[in-house]
Amino acid sequence: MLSINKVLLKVLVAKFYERNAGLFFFVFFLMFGIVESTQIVSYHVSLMYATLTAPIFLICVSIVWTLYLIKCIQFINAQLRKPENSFLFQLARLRLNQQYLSILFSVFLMDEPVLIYSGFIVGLGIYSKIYLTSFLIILFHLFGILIASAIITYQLNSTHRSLHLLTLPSFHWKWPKPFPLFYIGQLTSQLPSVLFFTKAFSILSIYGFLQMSIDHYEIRIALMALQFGLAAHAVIIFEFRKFEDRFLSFTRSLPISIAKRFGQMAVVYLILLLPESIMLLVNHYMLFDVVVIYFLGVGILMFLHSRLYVELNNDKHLQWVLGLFLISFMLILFKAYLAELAMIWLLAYYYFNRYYYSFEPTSE
Amino acid sequence: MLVIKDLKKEYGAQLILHIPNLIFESGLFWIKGANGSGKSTLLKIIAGMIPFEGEVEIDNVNLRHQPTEYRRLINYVEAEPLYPPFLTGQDLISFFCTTQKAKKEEVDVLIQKFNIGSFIKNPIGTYSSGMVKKLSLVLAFIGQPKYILLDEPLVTIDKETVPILYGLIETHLSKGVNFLFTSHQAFDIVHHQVQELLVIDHQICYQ
Repeated sequence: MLSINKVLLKVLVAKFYERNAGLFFFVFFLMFGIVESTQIVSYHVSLMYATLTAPIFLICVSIVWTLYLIKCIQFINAQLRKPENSFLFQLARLRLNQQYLSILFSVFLMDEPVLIYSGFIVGLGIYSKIYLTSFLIILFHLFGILIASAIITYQLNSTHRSLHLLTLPSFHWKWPKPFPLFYIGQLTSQLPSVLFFTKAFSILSIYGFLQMSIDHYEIRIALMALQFGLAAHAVIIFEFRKFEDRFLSFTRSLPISIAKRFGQMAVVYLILLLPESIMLLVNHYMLFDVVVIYFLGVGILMFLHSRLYVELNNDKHLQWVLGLFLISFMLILFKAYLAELAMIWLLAYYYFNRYYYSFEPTSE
Repeated sequence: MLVIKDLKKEYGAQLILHIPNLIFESGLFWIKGANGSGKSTLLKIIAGMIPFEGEVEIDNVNLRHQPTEYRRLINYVEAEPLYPPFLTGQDLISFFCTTQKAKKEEVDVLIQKFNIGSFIKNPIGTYSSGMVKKLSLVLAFIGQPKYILLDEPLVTIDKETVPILYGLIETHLSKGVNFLFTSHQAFDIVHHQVQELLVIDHQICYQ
């Protein structure tokens, strides 16, 4: 069993953390980076108390934990479907309890960040004599992990059946698609969960920022909110580039000018950021400001996309996402967002023009 | 006339191709060579798909200096084409018609010839490899290219489709379209002379 767990550790657990490094870093930043160092402990103790004492807060947190567990299940399913991982179906030759324990081991390790934080909550609960909620949290995680492992084990043994468990419904376009919609189609049909979680996070973060009560109109609140939303799009940008690399390499030999290709790509991101812009409009931001925010957002996404023609490397991509996030934040604070808007579009076009054809698709 | 000058292609430190000078006049060119010799890489370079050192031009239209005009003169089909599985064949055909400025009627003829009308409205993910290949061959003949590059065109297509492909190649040859292709199978075009080239030791020469 040790040899099996070692393989699962490399193929499932390590890959999961590698693939989601950006997300973890981002959540870590949200949890610990935006609070003053002197207040971190009291901030988290307050959060934990809220979870232990306010049922509505506990429900919200439980939803987040469940979504995370669904993400783990989806990731394992996706890994199992990869041709290079088809050997993992050898697991189905083991006795069912052995299979189950191996999968349980992987799910447990993938759920570790949630379990560690929950451990602190339960510890605080027991210390504060809030036994019932603490017990419920333990039960929740115990059943969550057991059920998730059971679902994956079932799927592992059901390759002969058509299964569509725990995948968000995908949407297939019935009408002819213009080129920019090839990308959106990839999201809606192949990666609906990525689209759903990204947009949910992006819109919720904007909504959260807009709840801040200030006594005067301030465009920077919306701009800063958008930075969180844009950072959440890191996965989509990388998926778009992977999609281009794998499925759209044939377009490289077509007679389309660089400027037109750049324009088509910008249309893709304009469509993608439409919900955020509408949200700002309905929240009474001035039209001109919304246009500025919209084009700054699209420009940042275009820059991150264009930079991936230099190299298609997720680790470096996430570093750029974070770096740009911090720089943008500073520029917004100093009201230099119009300069950033111009610069980011120029840089995006420079990278696109300079590296589009010099990039070598990996299909080669 | 397709002219290649001082072409060099490396993957890392590994030299794949080094072609000081090569001219393809007109007609049908069969590029031969062992597996991994660089045949597909050469076609991809000519198609403008991958970066390289050197110059490639068709009728004085240079790939590096007039990239869009050059690409209008080239159609290319990969040995194992890969398209987004959620798109339909019709989506891709419409897309190619727009980029190649092709007429609907000429495409309808191709669809009919390759007998793909029954499935082009289905998502490509539901196609067999042979159906994808047929779709890719339809795409290869869309527009008014000067050169059509076919990488292993006979692979995965059924024997009924082979004479259809030969017929289309002959028709296009008589209209002045030129073909560069690779194939490990015999290529039995009878009405036109096939000029053979061999890729060996990173170089290419007429046989």
